[in-house]
Formats: sequence, structure tokens, C-alpha cells
Amino acid sequence: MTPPKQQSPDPTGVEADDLAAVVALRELADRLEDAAVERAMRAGWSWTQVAEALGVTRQAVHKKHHRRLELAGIELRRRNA
Amino acid sequence: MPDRLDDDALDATLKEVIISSIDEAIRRGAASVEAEHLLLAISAGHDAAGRTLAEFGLDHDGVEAALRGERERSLRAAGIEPVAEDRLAATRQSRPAWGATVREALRRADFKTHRKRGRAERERLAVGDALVGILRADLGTVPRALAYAGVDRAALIDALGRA
Repeated sequence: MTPPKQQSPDPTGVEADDLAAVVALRELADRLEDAAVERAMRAGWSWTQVAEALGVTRQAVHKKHHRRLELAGIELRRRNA
Repeated sequence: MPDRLDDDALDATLKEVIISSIDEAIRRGAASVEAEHLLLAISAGHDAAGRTLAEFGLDHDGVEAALRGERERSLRAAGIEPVAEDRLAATRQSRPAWGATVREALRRADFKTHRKRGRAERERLAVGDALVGILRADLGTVPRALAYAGVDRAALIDALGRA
């Protein structure tokens, strides 16, 4: 016997709001990280300094952002070669 | 890639819309292409699916406003005020990943409904089928955005069935 189809919860209910907040915060954190790392690098910060400020390894921040920031400008590439 | 993109028989018009959903994701600075980006891409079209969306107030601007409203409400649920767009400006990722919600939308789209019709007709209807797949999600960003925008999702699905 198949169980009765569970009714879907309200997509704008209290529980859904909290879960949606997680989605929105992750998206905001990702976008803010992209913008903040780019701004710091344009202001002359090194990968090591950005990594320290973010509390992650230099390798992690480099791996995550270097290709995107290469697109952002040649000055960045020269300084961090 | 969504499984649907692996299909050699993928309808050309749907493929174009899927490709423009990648541009929508990049424009919004998203790390992955999600169902809402496919919805934005469909809403920019002038085919039956795009026209039906517009009838429900969901032209491209309408979808953008609904999605923005959803994100603002969701952030406020966590006590966060929206951050100004200029503080979030960044060089975009050139190749966002395929997200779970867009895969699920294409899985839910019943493309076989029109298999007995001719190729041109199937192509014409494939984008609408994908849209129905997006609208079948009961939870998540798109149903929340539509609910807050006052759009009757079930009525929209019905209208697409008649389009």
C-alpha cells in the first residue's frame, strides 16, 4: 500500500522562510566575497593578505578567484605573477 | 550539464533558451545556473511560453522584480537588510556550474507529452514544457517569488497547457 501523498508545505511559511534565508545568505556571501576579494586585489593586496583576512589558506583563495581575477585586468596579473 | 542537454534530440529553441539562462546566471553573479535563471530566459522570449508569462505579469522585468522581492524577504527573515548592488559588483565567473534546481526542472518537464506531433510543433512547445517543469516545484526560490508576486502557479500551468 502506498502512503498517502504528503501535502507540500507552504513555500512562504516560517520553516520555508528560514531555509530560504540560508539560500539567500549563501548567495549574498558568495557575491560579497567575489566583490571584496576583487576590490582588495585592485587596491594592491596580495593573495596572502586576502587569505589571512578571510581566514583561509592562500592556496584556497588563489584557486577560487585567480581565473576570474585574471579576466579583471592585466595589472592584477603582473603584480601577482 | 543537465541531463536534457546530453540528449542529441534536444530541441533547438529550448537549447537556445538554456544557453541564455547561463547568461542570466552570469549577469546576476550567481555561482550556478538555477531554475530562476531558466525562468528569466524564458520570460525574455516572445513565444507562447513568454507571452503566457507576460499575461500573468511575468515579463522579464516582472520576473526580475519577483525574484528580487523574494531574496529581500528571505534576507530579512535572517535580520539582514539588502546590500547595495554596487558593493556586490565583481568580474563574473565565466562558467557557472549547473545547479540542482535547473536539473530538477528539466527532469520534471514532460517533454514526451507532444511526441506524436511534428518536429516543428514539438520545438514550439518544448520551451513551454520546460517552463511547466520549473513551475512544478512546490518549494524554493521560484515558488516563493511567484507567491509573493501574487501569481497563481496552478492557473499559470493550466494556461500553458492551453497555449
